[in-house]
Amino acid sequence: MNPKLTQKIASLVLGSAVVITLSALVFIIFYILYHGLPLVSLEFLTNPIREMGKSGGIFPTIVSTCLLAIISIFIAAPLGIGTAVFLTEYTRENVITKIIRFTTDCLAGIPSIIFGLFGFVFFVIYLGLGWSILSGSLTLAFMMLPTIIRTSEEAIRAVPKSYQEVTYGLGGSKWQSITQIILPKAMPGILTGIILSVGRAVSETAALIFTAGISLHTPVSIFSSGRSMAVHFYTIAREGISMPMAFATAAVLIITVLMINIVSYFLMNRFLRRYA
Amino acid sequence: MLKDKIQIENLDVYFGEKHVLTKVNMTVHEHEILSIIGPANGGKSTILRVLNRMLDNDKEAKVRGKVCIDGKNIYDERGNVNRLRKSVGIIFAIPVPLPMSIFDNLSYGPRLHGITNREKLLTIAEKCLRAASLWDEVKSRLSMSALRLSGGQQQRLCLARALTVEPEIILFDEPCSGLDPISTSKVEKTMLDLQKQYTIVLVTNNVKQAERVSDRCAFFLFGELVEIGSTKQLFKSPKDKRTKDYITGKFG
Repeated sequence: MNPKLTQKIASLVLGSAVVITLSALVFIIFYILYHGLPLVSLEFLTNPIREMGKSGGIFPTIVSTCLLAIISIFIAAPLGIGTAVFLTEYTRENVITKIIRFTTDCLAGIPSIIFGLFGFVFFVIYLGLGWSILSGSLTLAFMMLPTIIRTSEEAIRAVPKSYQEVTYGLGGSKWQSITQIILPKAMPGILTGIILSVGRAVSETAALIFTAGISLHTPVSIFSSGRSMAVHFYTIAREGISMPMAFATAAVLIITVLMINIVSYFLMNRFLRRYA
Repeated sequence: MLKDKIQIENLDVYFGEKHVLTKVNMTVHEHEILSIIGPANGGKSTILRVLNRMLDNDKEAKVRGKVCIDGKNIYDERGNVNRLRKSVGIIFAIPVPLPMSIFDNLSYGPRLHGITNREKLLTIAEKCLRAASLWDEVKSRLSMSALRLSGGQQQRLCLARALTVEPEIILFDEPCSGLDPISTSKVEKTMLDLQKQYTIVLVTNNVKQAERVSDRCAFFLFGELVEIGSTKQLFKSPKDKRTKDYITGKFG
């Protein structure tokens, strides 16, 4: 075929792929915001849920979502970063590291409902934590781990080995080289992984119905049950309680995820500038 | 009589099956510049990595024999690696400034050893920058990123950084291989200045450089020490034919 024609067809095909992807995305976001935003008000954000969600606000679900996200991050981040440091700095490539890596990759592909089932059997029943924010957070943490481990590992590997040699050359220990230079340099990459996971945690539904429950009340401790925004949205849409309220909740959810991404993007930029 | 700073006895180094240094015996005197020359893959850089135990991190590497600094075997079980590396600084072929400010690069070493007082860190930074002949060029912009310095400046910064932890021995691993002649001469001049206080081992691919700066010179070929002696004598009348061929450029 004529190379010029090939080129034209290629750019047409690729261009339309971009247009289709973008318009689908934009359509979804605008559709939800269009139907949801008019109902979002200060009262909506601060009032308790009334009539199973038919009226009132979504304050309890905001609190639950925040608690779930924050607690799960505090559990998953140290574990994940620790694992990544161990895999990259403390072991040589061998069968065991390969197995660990393969397992984390498999974990990443497991549907969240399976995590939910595991969380239900293990945390809720076996450990007796009941339907609670804690059970939910632990389950979410397990879901986040693969992402955090893999992105942290990549970020740590991207730090030049020579920085480590500089630290050793000056008489620094391995631990010092990790804390003083490797982790700070890898931090932007690690944070990217964490932010991706927060996004996943905030929008998770299946795993949470089984573990954090669907209580309509504002959680008072990590042992109370609470429904997250996504679960609330799912429940009232599924049971046909109120489509407008469902859209409003979805709008808040979308804005939250966008905000998390935007804020972290700016934070990361500042971070990068400090270390570059 | 000059005091011996480093004594190497029957040193053998293996990387897996590969024998990279064979039965090396040599000494380095205090306050001298000893240059190590020879073709690539002759074990020159390996010997530097033996001296600061950088080979410890390489699981493939095996070191046999005795390496004494100030009469103490550094491969002794009880030896503290971090203390050893603090007293044996190393400068790599490619300068590795850490991605932070000039000042932070210089306070990095002292901080590793627990010095956090800013005044003290500034004093150390100035002293070491002066010793590395870099102070006048950077004194007004210590907070600038070290990555923005030129190649030659970066190399002298790395030298200054190595000095911040008060080493006694400095190892140079082809420090000028990426530098232009002017930067090279600056680094060489600095080495000569440093000789009064430090013992220097210089690995170089540049035979002329070895001749210019070193007091004594060692010639390595395929992991064997062929000849070691005063630079003047080695360059004027080498005992071994292989040395002669190498320094006159017949091979390698």
